[in-house]
Amino acid sequence: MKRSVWMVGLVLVLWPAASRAQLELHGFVESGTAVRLGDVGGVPAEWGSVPAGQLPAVWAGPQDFLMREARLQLRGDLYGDVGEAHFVMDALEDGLRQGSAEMTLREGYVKFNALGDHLEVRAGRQPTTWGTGDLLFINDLFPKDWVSFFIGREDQYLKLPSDAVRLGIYGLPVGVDLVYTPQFTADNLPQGERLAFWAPAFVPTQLPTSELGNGEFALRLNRYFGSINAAFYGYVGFWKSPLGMRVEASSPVGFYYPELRSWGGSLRGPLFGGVAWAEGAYYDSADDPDGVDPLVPNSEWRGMVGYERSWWSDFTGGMQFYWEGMQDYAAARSSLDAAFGPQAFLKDENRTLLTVRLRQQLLYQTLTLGVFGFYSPTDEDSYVRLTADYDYSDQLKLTAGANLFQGKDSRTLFGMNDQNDSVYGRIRLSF
Amino acid sequence: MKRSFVLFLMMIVVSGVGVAGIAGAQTPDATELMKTAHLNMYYPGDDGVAKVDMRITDKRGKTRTRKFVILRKDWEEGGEQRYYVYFFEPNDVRRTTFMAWKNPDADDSRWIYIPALDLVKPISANDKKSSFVGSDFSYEDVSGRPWTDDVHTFLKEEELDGHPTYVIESKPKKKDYFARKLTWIDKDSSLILREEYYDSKDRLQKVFETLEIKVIDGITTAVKRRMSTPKKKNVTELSFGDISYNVGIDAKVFSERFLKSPPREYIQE
Repeated sequence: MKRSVWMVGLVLVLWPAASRAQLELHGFVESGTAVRLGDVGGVPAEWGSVPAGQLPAVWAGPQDFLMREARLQLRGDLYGDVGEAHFVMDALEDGLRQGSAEMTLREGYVKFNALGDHLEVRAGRQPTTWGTGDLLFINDLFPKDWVSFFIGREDQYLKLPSDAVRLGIYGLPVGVDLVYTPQFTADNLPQGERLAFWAPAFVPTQLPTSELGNGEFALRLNRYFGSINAAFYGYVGFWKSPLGMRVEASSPVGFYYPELRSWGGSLRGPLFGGVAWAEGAYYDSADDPDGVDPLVPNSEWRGMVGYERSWWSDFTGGMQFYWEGMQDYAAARSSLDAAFGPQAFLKDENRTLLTVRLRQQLLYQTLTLGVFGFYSPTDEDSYVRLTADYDYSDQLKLTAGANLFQGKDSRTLFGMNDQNDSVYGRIRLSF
Repeated sequence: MKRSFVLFLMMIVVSGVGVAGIAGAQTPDATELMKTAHLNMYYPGDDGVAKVDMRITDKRGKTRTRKFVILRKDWEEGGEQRYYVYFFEPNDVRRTTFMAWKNPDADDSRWIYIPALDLVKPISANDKKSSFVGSDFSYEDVSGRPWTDDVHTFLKEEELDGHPTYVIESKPKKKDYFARKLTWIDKDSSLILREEYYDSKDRLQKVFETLEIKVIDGITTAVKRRMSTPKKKNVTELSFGDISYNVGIDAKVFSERFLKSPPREYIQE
């Protein structure tokens, strides 16, 4: 991380010398606190007894806070004759990681056009988003920070940046976006530091090695037909969560990120005064094409449809229906039975999810009240996000919210978060 | 008014035509006046760039500010047009961009781009009276309500702050958020100087005022505008600066690509 700080410094010093440039500096200071509602309980039964020294923080002792932090974000935008440079530095004083202020480079990239404006290049650390879903992602396989999302940090922290080269090619019948990430970047998932979680075993997770072949390629082709956008997507890389398991002498020794290839499409456009979208993809679990390996996730089909509109002034309401289906469920189940017995957890053959978003703005849009609910009829679990944002002034913003989980089974996505219910508050001063 | 009465008398006396003269005085065509005023207010030139300073003052006198650049290109005079907005302030929305494709015959299409998430989001556009960025101006007030949505009647001629004006009453053809609207159109510039919106119980809802007029690139422009909501004692003032017309904005600027990569040539704070 130190190296990246130096890089930013170097860019700052050299840029103005290279061209007439304009630097804009802005940012914010924010303080946030999240308090757990209820108790965490014990570690998952499957883990057996975990040595006290290795217990994740949430189980090691009382931990009532999920977030207790102060943050300074500095953003700089440099505009020169030949291109632009953007950087965002976060200095985080994290009360849950005592004694260490963390410096994180959230963005640090250079952008320029070439080939007579037909090519746009963005190189460096940057966030990338595509696809149509509202907090549901099918073809967007760029890294996410689910911990930040679940503990109540601001929305921008759901997106993890990746160190990537992004090419935009224009002037063809379709717009082409190509993102190459040389080093695979995984999602940030609960690991017991702030949030209790479930995993089939308590063993370490291994990232793909830093070989040249272990990067990620993501492609999007898209075109507008009037206001309707049609897109095709492709991805070659790895599952974003460590769904693969390594076993030695029939006991788990580690998790890893199996290879994933995916392709899919989406449509989004205006419908009945609102916006409608549909998206689907095939996830090809390349390490297990026939779905018979109990240690590797099955290939899957995923799809969703959604609709959102304004129902009255300053009120929007939207709904989504999402489905994922395993390709070789029977093969996966029987191979798992053979390896670990019928108690071993396997998700349902079909998993469905409904989401609802309601948002009302009041007092000349200075107060925003929002509800976002996830409910899975197949997993029988749910997740409700409540938020209230108040702009006290153009500079000062107050946020309060709650993250509430419910589930019958502590092994499903929201079920495993059942002990992670929390309320939070944030105060931010922007400059 | 007085002067025209004297002129009227003189006409009778001098010409001797008398009654015939009165019959010959035509009532101005209200729809034609509204159309011209609408085109002058919302379609000046073929395209335009301006820096906008928006000041929202609430009933306690607290002020919020929005600063943005607005680009506009007309696809058809009085018809389709496209808008592009880049925000400088407030700081927490800095670099956010907004795009609207206005279609008077159907719903508009609107998109917003949130740079911290690299997220392009289409936003539903069925509600034209939703507030634009928390101001007294609705989306429709910013881009102008098509004159074809209302039936217009000429009421009278009147002097408003020293400007001779035509006063026109408009009623929506279909049930809408206001029941009637009075418009004062400047005889000299054919710009709208004032509008009053009334609800179905004839209570004043909103007042629009042109506060300053300048000639820019030969085009008479309302450079300072105000919208007030008397019931809530809330006021929004818009000041347009660095205006230029007919700059030849490329049509492709109004696309997702430029929503994500703002065209720097137009965006200087």
